[in-house]
Amino acid sequence: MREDNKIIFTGPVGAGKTTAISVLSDVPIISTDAQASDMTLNRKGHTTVAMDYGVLKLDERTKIHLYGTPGQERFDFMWDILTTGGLGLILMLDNTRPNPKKDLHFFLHAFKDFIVEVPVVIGISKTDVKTRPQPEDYVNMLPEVTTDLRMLNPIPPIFEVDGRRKDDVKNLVMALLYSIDPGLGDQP
Amino acid sequence: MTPNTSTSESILVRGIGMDTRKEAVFRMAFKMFTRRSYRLLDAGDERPPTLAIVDIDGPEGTLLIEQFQREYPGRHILLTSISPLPDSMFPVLQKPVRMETLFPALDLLLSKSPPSPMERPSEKSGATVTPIRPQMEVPAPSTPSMSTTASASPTAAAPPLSPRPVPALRPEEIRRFDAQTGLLGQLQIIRRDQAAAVIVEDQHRIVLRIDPVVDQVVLLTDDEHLRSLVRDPQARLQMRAPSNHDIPANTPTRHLTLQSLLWQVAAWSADGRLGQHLQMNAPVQLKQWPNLTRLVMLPDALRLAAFLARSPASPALTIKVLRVAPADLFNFLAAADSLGLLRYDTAEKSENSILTTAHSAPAQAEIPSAKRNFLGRILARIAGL
Repeated sequence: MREDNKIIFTGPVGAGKTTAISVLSDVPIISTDAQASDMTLNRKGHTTVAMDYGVLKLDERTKIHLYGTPGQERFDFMWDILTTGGLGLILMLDNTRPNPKKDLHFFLHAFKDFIVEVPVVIGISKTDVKTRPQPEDYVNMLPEVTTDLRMLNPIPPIFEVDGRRKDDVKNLVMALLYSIDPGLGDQP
Repeated sequence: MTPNTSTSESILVRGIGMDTRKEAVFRMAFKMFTRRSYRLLDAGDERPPTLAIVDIDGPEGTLLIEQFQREYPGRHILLTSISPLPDSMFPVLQKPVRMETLFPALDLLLSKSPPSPMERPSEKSGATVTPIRPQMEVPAPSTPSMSTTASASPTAAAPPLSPRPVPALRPEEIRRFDAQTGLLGQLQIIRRDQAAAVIVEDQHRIVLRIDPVVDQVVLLTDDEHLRSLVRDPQARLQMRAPSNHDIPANTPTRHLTLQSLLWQVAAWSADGRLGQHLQMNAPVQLKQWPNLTRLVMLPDALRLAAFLARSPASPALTIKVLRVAPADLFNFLAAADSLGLLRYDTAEKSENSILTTAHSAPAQAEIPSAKRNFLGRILARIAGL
């Protein structure tokens, strides 16, 4: 039987989605460029957004598709399509952005129907550039941000991550899998 | 002929299928082990090894074993893998590898005759197979054998794995420790009071300089000595206010966060013991996940965090459901509690009480075994990257 599943990476532009996917992917990452049509949002007259795609192969017939969503809100029509069949959501947040709490709110709400069914894990990037907010600050933001949300895992993992560090990305994904089933890996 | 493995000379070990980081871990473990002298051969060292430790989770998998056997027939082989290998003719040390079982495994290996190089796995004798429960962390296990097996046989489903046995633990076997004492107790006071301090050993030797406001620690000693201070109930440690002359120029120092120091010291302090304030049958719950990418990864920490963040569970239930070693659970609980991440009902701290279901995960349907098996394959694949 052919088994295909997805892990969805989301977050604002520059949060490290592409780097994280490339750490996991068995094939060179594919980025789909698209031109934004909403000129009002783009003072340069055009912008390029990318949907990243990578593959983690379990065997010749079984693949885990790794999708990085475009960060911009105007591409959120794609997100429902992407999330179908998804195992979980990895939200990457850029700590250097002006309002990470707003980003947290936006992306959790953008995937509100998805995260009822699947767990979310949160990776905070660029904490070496800007140390605050700290992970515990994000923890404190969550009750307010998620007050109108139903989450499969209301206490999600929130880790500092550097997408260039393989172990960080691995731990993020492993936390996602254990959030689905902590009993995984109970083999001797 | 099996090479001489007397304890008077170095036992040369060839590491196969490992990157330099994994080799460095074994090299360090060998250096710390003094009862026998093991030496990991450098790349390019042509001396014949006494034994090989083969990590078979990489792309070349078990081919590495055959290559080694061709080159050095009759030598001992110890395998490391993230997955159990029930059909292996060689002893298997499951990753993450730990010192506590690595060396007994090597001793056992050297005490036996190696399998014949012509012997096939199907001809294995039960006596030669010694699956060993790991205890020493190896930071980066490589590609797991499950995915390697699957690659070789695309149509084969991952074999169902037998779950770990539930660790047996009688109440009288549970050892306790007091987290308020020793270095751990001092660190927690410093964190609570948010006042900078130095920890001094024997009145004069500064071991740590701590600034809890910025979550920073300067270490003036190595981990080995720090661990000995943690474990020595007679260690004479004092706490005092810092001064400008605490750290002379050119003194070698290391920097880390107070959180990561507390986490590590708490796990060392617990040393497989349950905190006095916790009950085996009373629920505990995580307030939040520890920031595990910036803390020493304790055994089963991700699983335990996932389980205890989902809903409250007693230590006894956690051991039963997750089949974790009690010592690993107790160390994790101590480490999490040292950072104030643990909820448990206590008369002293009502704010620490277990929350009702409002903050717990919704009930989840039991995961079908096929999906569980599939998720397990993904997990093994990720862990092996």
